[in-house]
Amino acid sequence: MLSPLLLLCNITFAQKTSSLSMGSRQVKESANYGLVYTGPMLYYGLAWERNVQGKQLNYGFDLGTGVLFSRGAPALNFSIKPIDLALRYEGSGILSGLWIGPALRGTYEYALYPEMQAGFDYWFTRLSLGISTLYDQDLSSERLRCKGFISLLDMVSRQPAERGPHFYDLGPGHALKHLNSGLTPGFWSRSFSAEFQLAWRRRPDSRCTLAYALSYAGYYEEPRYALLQHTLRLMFNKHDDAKP
Amino acid sequence: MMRSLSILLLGTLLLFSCLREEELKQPFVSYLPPEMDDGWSISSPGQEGMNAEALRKIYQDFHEDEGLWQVRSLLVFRGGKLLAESYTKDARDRTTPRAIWSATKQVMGLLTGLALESQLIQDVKDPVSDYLPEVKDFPDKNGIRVEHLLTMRSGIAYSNDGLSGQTDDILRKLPDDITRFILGLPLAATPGEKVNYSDGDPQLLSSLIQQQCGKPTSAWAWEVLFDKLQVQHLEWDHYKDGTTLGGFGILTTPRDLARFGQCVLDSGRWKGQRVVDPQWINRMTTMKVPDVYGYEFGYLWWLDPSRNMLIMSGHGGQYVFLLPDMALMIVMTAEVNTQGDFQFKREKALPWVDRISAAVDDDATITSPAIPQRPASPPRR
Repeated sequence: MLSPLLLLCNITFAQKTSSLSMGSRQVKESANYGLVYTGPMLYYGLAWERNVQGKQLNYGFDLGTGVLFSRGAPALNFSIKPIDLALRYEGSGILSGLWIGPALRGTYEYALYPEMQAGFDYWFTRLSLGISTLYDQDLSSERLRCKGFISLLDMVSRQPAERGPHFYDLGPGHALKHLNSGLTPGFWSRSFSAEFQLAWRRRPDSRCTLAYALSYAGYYEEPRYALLQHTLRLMFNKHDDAKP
Repeated sequence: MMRSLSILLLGTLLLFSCLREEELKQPFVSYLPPEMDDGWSISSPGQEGMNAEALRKIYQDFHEDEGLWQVRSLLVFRGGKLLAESYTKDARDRTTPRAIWSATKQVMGLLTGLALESQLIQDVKDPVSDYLPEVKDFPDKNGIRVEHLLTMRSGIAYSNDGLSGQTDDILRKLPDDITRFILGLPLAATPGEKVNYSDGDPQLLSSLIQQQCGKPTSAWAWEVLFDKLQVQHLEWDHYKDGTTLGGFGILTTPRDLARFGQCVLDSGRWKGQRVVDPQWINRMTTMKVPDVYGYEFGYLWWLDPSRNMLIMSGHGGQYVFLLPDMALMIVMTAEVNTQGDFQFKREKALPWVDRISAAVDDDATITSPAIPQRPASPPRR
């Protein structure tokens, strides 16, 4: 299923970027007594970009995993972003240089807390419709690119707020069955996510880009959730004419 | 230049942003218990011969000790009266049932006494096969007696291990029939020979009682015990085949958990009314096994001879400590799903018991109506 998708992306998009990222993640899951889990995440991602007469189409996906800790107790985290789609239009007048447009993101955050919540799994699935922005700034020979995303409307799935303590939820296929279960809409008062990325390239035609990103996701009803992540990303562009 | 500075400032702000851990416990305000019209008489430390200032300091430390982030409640009773109570995380714990895990086993101990009294069981020396027809399909279990189940000596190779043991299978609801699942396990020892602390033996007791009384053990328990103790908030989970869980399974509140302890402290009475046979209380709390994890063990009850103390104990840190010599009862509860060293373990709880018992005024009159007298034991190492 993935191969035809990759083929389609390679045909549709002119530029391809692969990335390796290392993130410092913090997660606060309400079931965990107010504890904040902190630790590293590793990601691999692919992204494609196509520019056509004042329009820019992006598609990308990310896979990540990591082990977080709180007071010495581990948490296994898995992060999958199968959809990161944006269509941006070049601004004019006061917005000259700014690219802005709608974006669609699908994200699965899945976690296990073997020492604190044995036998249960935790997830925050969201399909976010939002606004994506992009701004390039050349500084002599260097290039800076600022990218942003803010969600406007999310479709959200969370684990139940109350689960009996005696019988485990966790089991074969449980995640596949439940990660998309009970998706309900959420506006800012219920669910919100945002990302800001600053990318730096030594020369505009360089194949390698270094980026820093800050991501936030929050769910404000029970079971409450907050995620904050700082990420350093190394991106490799396939084409010589590629932008960062 | 300004633009570069702005980017630098924004970048610095972003880099240092982080999530804050919440206050894991609420600040200590008061240990004075409110009157709840739940059958508990409310008193004060001074009236019950305890040092109020020492108790206040204990409660304050209990709330402020950073290392004790798991604890949820601390209640002190003396002479059958509740005199101090505080909830470190949520005052709703007063009425919200939470899992007490293996402290369910001690409730099973009380129910076994009632099963004997009701003649559901004739004698603890009887073979389990007399009461549990499933045993005939597992002839190697014919030698198991009721007493073996009460003392964790069935010999069944049952492991409580959370990852690979049989409790894990049960928590995952893998077996269809919980009784046959346990009986179908091999014998690791001749029944009565070796101790193996497990959820399996008390589960067979629950299955046995359920078989004999013709209704879920939990329903029968309400009739013969819970209602008589004026229990207000208690739920008891069942396995998917309808059998009431026996090794764990009760959810209740600290105040309701304390009723079982007070009943034992008062030799089977509640508010002066006989609920459980006093002779059974005595048998149940007399040492039958000299060493289970460093403690003596009666009929499903833990004994700490160095403190002359009886203990109800559940996973995560759910405790009732009974000190009959002082008519003192201490209830402590903690988060229920923590594992390993992240639990509020017994060794972490005992120093608090010692501090609280040290706050008892030596000259104070003990007002408990009946306290089982037990011989002095040498201090435990």
